[in-house]
Amino acid sequence: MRVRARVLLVCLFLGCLFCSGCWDRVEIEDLGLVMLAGFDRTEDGLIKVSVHVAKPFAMTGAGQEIIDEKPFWPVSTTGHTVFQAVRNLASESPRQIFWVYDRVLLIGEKLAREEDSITQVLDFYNRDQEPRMGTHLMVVKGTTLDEIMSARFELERQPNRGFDEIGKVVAARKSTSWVPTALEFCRELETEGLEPVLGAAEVVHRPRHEPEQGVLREVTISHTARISGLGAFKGNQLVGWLNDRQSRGVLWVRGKVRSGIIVIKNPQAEERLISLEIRRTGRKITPQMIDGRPVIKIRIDVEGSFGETQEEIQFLGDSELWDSLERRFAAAVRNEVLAALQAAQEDLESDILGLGRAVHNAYPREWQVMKDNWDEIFPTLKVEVEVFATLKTSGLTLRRIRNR
Amino acid sequence: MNLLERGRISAYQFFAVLVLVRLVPVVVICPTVALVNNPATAWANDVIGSLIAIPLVWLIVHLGLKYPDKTIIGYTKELLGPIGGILVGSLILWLYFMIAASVLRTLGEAMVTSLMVETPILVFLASAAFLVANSVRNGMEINSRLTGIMVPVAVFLLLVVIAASYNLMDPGYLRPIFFAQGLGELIWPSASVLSFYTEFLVIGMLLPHINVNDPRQVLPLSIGAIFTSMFILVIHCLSMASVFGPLLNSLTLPTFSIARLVRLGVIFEHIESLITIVWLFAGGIKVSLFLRTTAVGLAQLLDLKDYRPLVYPLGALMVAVSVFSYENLIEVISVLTGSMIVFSISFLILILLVLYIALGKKDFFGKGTSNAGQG
Repeated sequence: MRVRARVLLVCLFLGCLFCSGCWDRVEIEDLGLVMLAGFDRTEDGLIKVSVHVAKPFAMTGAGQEIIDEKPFWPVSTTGHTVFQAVRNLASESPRQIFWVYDRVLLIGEKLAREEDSITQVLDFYNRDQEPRMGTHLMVVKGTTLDEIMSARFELERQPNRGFDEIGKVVAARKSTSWVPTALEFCRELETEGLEPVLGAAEVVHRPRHEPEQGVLREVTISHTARISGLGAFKGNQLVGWLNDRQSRGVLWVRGKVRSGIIVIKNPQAEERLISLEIRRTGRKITPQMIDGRPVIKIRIDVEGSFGETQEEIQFLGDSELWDSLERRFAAAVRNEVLAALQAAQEDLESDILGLGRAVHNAYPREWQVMKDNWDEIFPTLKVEVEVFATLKTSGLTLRRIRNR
Repeated sequence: MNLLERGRISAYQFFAVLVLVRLVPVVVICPTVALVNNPATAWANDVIGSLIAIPLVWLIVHLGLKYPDKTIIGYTKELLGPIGGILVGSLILWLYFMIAASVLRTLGEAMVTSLMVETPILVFLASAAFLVANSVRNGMEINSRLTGIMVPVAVFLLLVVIAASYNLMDPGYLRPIFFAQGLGELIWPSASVLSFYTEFLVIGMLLPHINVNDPRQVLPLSIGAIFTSMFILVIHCLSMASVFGPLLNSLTLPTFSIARLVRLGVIFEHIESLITIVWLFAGGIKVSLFLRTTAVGLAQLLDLKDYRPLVYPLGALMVAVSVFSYENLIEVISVLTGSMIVFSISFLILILLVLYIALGKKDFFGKGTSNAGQG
């Protein structure tokens, strides 16, 4: 009897192996994986969701024959709420829409400019079990969501990879934009004395290249996208755009600059230019209270390398020259920061630099009084910017190639 | 009065059991974070709550050491006589039982909220209770050995998840250390941290089984478990605060959420299943610990010869209680961050007070502890 009971029990547990997942069991073949998603507001005030759903049968791995079919299916629906719009995809997709693998989320400009609308999207994103807060967030600049979703990339078959990788590469190599994750954006939204920014995605039209007779078959993409500059928010509302220069200025203050090229004038020949590469950066924001008003000191340390010169330049035996290059380097960086400050304080009146956060950290008690009217204090805030720049190397050459 | 269990657990296993008891509310639903006002100061609650737990646990252990051969049910009966003993003893057992039911429910809710959204929660509760009841019937030694193995694994997995989220952390969110609403901000979250330490009352049931040369070694072991838990709590809290910043108190399952965010390279992502492993093992072992404690305690209270026949009925009852005591996840969290704090702390203090008064009376009338060890 006992033996029989045990056998029965073993059978019971073996059964578990075949019904693992309980009610939530789902086969990968039944899922439509969202690769790229975008949200916007329609003319009639509805929420619009556009997604690229992966087409696994059109995807090819390395070494396989390339199939001439796009590996994704663009589809969009609308709804009164974000979740309703998302679920409305179910009536058009034969596979259950599955959000776990979504890496990029585009926010339409119309939606971003509305008060409290981007938070509706993010509430769905944070609350639901499928989407991840690690998804990268971008705001569409100067075009419609549909147009940016139809952008294709020459080097990537999946547009989501195009957006994702450009975001990474821009931040790492140029630092003129920064694509935060949904987590970072939400975190900044709730941080006192800091207004969020998002990387701006734009459409680029390239002239269509007509293949000539006799050459190898060649397909060019005329409609692609780039990430350039930042969209500045005030609270949960998009209030303006920053160009590349201002964006890097913001990122200097936020400590997010990783690399980039700074162009200065040659001190020996003013009409010729020199490129310096940013190598290492550091920043320190020190707020002080002077007569009950905060004064902010921003100190930026930057280390760079001499990257290019248009005119013959002789370093050896001229330490004064190297110093003056460093001074110009520092001034150029300082100008970027000042441009960002001007944009933030005068045009946008939005503390995207996080100066309030620095005050909050250094003077938490005083901040309790200041935080409610920080919006009025910030535009008139006195900010001193100091930049210490050093150049460490001139690369593999000492002098420029000469003309005989 | 016998112990009904010949099992012995090693000093390390005892330590591991205590750490596990405190680890479960950290990794599953960490209700304390919902009370935190300034995430930068959240770690202070863990320190304060843990430090206040030390005297309470000292009282529990000190009482137990008066009767090193008896469980808390045994000496409650001896101290308070048959009627008072049964009354207070059943209150203690009720607490153990409620902990078991509550942990089971949190575990089920966590699974249903995070991964298995469509599955009815009863499936988890019933199947977990069945497995747990079976492990309880097999005695404490197997369970303790499993605890000894699983606690380092669970802590390791937790640390892996935390370490893997390093690139999401912004240490700026650990500042400023400032209390906008005064130091009173610390009271509720610290009390919440402390409230889970009241589960260390389980020491009362484990103490006679610990395989140490000198029972007095139990005290440093228990205090060590508190400090270890505090260490884990603080690490957990600092990483949570620096990853989520002001979003910290918006999360129902913070540890799970952190694991969901981890993305290192192309391969190392979607590691939330590691956290689920911790839930199932740590939670399951904790439920079985408290179910066993209830069953053995009840058998001792009623002078039964064996506790095993009680296990299945109690297990079934546990499922029923865990289903009926809360309506939904929000209620679980609001009870754990509200009434349960007051209840568990005052309940523990009351029980200890009654037992110490009885002990003092007994000592005063000169009987001392001469009866100890006859059991």
